[in-house]
Amino acid sequence: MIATVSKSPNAEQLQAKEWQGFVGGTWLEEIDVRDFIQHNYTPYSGDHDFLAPATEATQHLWQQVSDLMLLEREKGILDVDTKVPTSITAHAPGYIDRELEAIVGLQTDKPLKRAIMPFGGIRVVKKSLAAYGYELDPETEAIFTKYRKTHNDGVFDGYTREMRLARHSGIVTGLPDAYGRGRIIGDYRRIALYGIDRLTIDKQQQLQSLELDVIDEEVIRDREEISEQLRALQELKAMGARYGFDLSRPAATAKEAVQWLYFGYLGAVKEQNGAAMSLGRTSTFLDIYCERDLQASQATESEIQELMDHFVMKLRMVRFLRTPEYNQLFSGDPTWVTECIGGMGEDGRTLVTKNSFRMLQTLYNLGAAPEPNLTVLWSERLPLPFRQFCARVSIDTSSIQYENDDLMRPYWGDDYGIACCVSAMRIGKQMQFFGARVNLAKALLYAINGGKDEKSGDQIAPQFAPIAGTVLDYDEVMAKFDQMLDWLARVYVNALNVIHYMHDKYCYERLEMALHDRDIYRTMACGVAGLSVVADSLAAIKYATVTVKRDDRGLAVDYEIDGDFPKFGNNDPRVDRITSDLVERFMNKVRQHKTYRNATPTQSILTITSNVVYGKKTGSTPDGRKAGEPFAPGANPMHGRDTKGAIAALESVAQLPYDHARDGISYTFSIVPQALGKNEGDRASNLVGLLDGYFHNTGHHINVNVLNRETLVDAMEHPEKYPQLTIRVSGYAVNFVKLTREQQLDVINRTFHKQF
Amino acid sequence: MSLTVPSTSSFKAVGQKRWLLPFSLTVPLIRDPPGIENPTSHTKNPLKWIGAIRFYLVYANSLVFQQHLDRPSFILNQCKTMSLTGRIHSIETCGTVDGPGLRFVVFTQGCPLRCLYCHNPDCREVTGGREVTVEELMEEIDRYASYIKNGGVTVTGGEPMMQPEFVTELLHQCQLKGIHTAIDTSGYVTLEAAKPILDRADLVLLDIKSFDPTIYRRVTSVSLQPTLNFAKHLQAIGKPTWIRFVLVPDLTDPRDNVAGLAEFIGTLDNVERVEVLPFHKMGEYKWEALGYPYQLQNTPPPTPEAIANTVQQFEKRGLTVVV
Repeated sequence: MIATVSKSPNAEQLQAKEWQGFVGGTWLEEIDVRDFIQHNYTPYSGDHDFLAPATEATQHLWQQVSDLMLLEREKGILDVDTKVPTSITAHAPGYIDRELEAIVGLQTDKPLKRAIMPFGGIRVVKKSLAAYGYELDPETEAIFTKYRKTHNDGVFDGYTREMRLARHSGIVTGLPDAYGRGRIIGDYRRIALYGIDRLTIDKQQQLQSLELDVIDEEVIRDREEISEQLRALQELKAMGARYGFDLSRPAATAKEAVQWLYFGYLGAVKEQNGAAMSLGRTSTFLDIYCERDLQASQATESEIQELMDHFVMKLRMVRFLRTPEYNQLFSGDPTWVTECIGGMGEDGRTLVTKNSFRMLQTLYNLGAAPEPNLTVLWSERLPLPFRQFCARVSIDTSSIQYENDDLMRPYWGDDYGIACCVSAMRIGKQMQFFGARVNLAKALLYAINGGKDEKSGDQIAPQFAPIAGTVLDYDEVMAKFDQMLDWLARVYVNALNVIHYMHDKYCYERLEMALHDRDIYRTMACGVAGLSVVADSLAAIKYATVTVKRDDRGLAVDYEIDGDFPKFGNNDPRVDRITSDLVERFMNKVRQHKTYRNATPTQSILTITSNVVYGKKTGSTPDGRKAGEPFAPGANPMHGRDTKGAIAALESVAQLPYDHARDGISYTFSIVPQALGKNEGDRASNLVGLLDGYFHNTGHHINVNVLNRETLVDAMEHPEKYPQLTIRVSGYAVNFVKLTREQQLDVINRTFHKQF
Repeated sequence: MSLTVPSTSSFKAVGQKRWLLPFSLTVPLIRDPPGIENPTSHTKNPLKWIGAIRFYLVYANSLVFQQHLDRPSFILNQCKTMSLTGRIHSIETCGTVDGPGLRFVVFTQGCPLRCLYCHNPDCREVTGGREVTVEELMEEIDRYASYIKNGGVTVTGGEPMMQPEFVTELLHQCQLKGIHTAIDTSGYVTLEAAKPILDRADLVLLDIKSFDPTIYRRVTSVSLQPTLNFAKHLQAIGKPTWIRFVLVPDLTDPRDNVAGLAEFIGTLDNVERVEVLPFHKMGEYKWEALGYPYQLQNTPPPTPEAIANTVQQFEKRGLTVVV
């Protein structure tokens, strides 16, 4: 990596008003936010007693926002601009209630009013508008059909026949070929720490560093991208100015730091409707400013909490215009504003600060919510009072997910963030090419049926001999399945190459990438769905007798199992080994293919809520799952098959190899409060013990839901009573009342760990 | 499932003549043994003899019942069965309500009580469940070491005291690894049989189903006295103990019953907490599945007031109460 050095800054700059009181370091010489944090943050190992409740202003403001959200839920979308393609500066400043807002800035000129983002694809914009009863402005439509090509157009120019078939049959699904890919985290902290002028100088120097002897395709692309980044930075400055702030200089107070950082993020969500628009790791960075103001008695705890509350309120209001089908796939209006809290530093100090607590406190001050996607980076070495507070908040709100800091730190250092749900990346130094996922269960059925789709009967994969016998033989099935995975990995990676080539070309993330270094590490983030279905199917074939039922087309459409077999989720090595092998096997196949921009291939085991849709599109499987029934989410065991209790299930998941699933392994855990312990204290400490054990044993991710089944059933019947009821699904959280009825039933039927 | 008794086995009716088994005998372990309160009548008639043998063989795994608790009866002497193999119903890896912290919970198979509200009736039959060795269980427990480090292992059931050698060895192995051990029992056991287990148990969860002997018998089909003796013994040896009491409307809830129990427990200084467990019907489906008549179909869960009143009775005696 080339560290670009600007010539002017030096220690004297610490005398500047904005940086007074800070300890210097390389961050003065280079753009290096981590170095600034390490030199200046105050670890906090105390408890939550210092926290302040919501101020009156916060309560009034949140009431207004809640009212608007209620109206929005009734209407589908509250309002939309059907003409102006959005950009950083396309819309006039917007406010909720200017007098009350400590932190300002909206995506458009009005709260919750959506914008159109046609660079990803004009068809999807038109379709989304139509779904809510709006019509795309004819002039805008003409621009994006006659004069300006979109990402979506580009992708379909590049797709091969095979890719179209795989996409159509649903063996590869959720590809970002018609909308923004997302999962890129701008280092929004840079705006607060350095101000835009300093960042501009840095980018200009990067551009100069690319005046090389040979100007080939790669260099040309880099030069064009950096030029675009420079433009985006200037636009962001202009946007700030319209709100009355001078973003050219660093932030001087906690309030400015939050505002500057938020403006950086706001610029990104004004310009991109990426599948996940994550925030990064901001709480501890902001704590440095909060602490400085508190020490200087320039702010009270209540004022600081108000800043965080208002910041979070804004993050909860991020909206994109999407089709109802997209919402059906991913449940509601997901934006994945993921914020990472806690973790340990490489020097052994905890990165927990008072602001880590304040960020969690927003769940009390504003009530539970899916956004921002609060992600605690867990280590057994985190201060106990913080671990206990997290557990308490989880039990009260079901709004937190946890990821294993001790597992990820060796890979990604101590200044990584999580994009979307489980994808770790060094902030400002790394990005990923989001690749959704393939349906492993369907691949198994294709292997049995010689490449034909079990529902349509169409030949999707290359034709080869189907399995002819009546009783499935493990070795024969594995041999064919392995071949099928070879094909699947090839068509999958190639499709992703097309998608990301076109995304860079037609829908480049100018502002987010302006907040990155010049040379970045890229991953090609593949993924799989249906892991436990396939593992159990293979175990059934191996340990029981599975008989095939064929229809009149000769397609295997159903299976009969005779005898018992080990099932994933019981910490049974016989099947857990099969499961781990599947993960490694598919990863190794993906690794064989050349990737766009030489990205490093990775994979995730994650479904969000698409496990329901995947299940719907997949025929009966040899594990006894009937056609149309949902898969388990993420890396979860199949519903009701984990019979040894929650921890056995955790252990099965914890054993999946992170090294072969570096884009994350998602597990969703739901438990009734009574099963976690007799009283609040026991419940919190048991949850701490559970998380300590799971992460000690190298589990990667866990969603924690502490809910009563009865509450969910009641919420299904009376959604109006539960506007903020939040439930974690694979890697993400949703408003329960925004789920489709099918998804609600799936959540309710899913194993609720309880005992008596 | 059957058991072979060697021809050298001898047994006798308590206070009566010792009989020597003249032949090696293989008998099926019967599904539903007569309650310990209703032993099969013994006689010189060899056919009825076999009935008696069958009855004892059922309990042969558990030396606890070598000596009858309430009534004179038989003793089976030399029938040594698989000492370190036990019968368990299942395990629960995420135990949170059976002792402190996260616990690996072993549900043993077999119980001499027939509680009306039993929520694990599938643990009753000594012939059910599956066989495991202590080694196998320890191997499994080891895999959860990082979860249970602030919790431990709890053996419940069923009645763990029915398999004293197995349970003693299991708890012993846990303690050797520094794992906290707890045993959940009704206390319906001879002290002699219980002692080795108690030596290896860091905590006893003692279920006292009722203080009124008549109600106790109605609930459990057995008598109360052994449990009271057991409780007093726990006090005598200073064993940390949690008392559990299931509050069932129209059954265990009479004021005098609760007050009597509170008074009794109040005299035991080894009791760390009292858990009042409000009756629930979550085990009802198991009764149906097993084809047992469930008598509490129409019994409601206790009201919050009834729970509060019960808690108050215990608290009045200076006890720490958890609901």
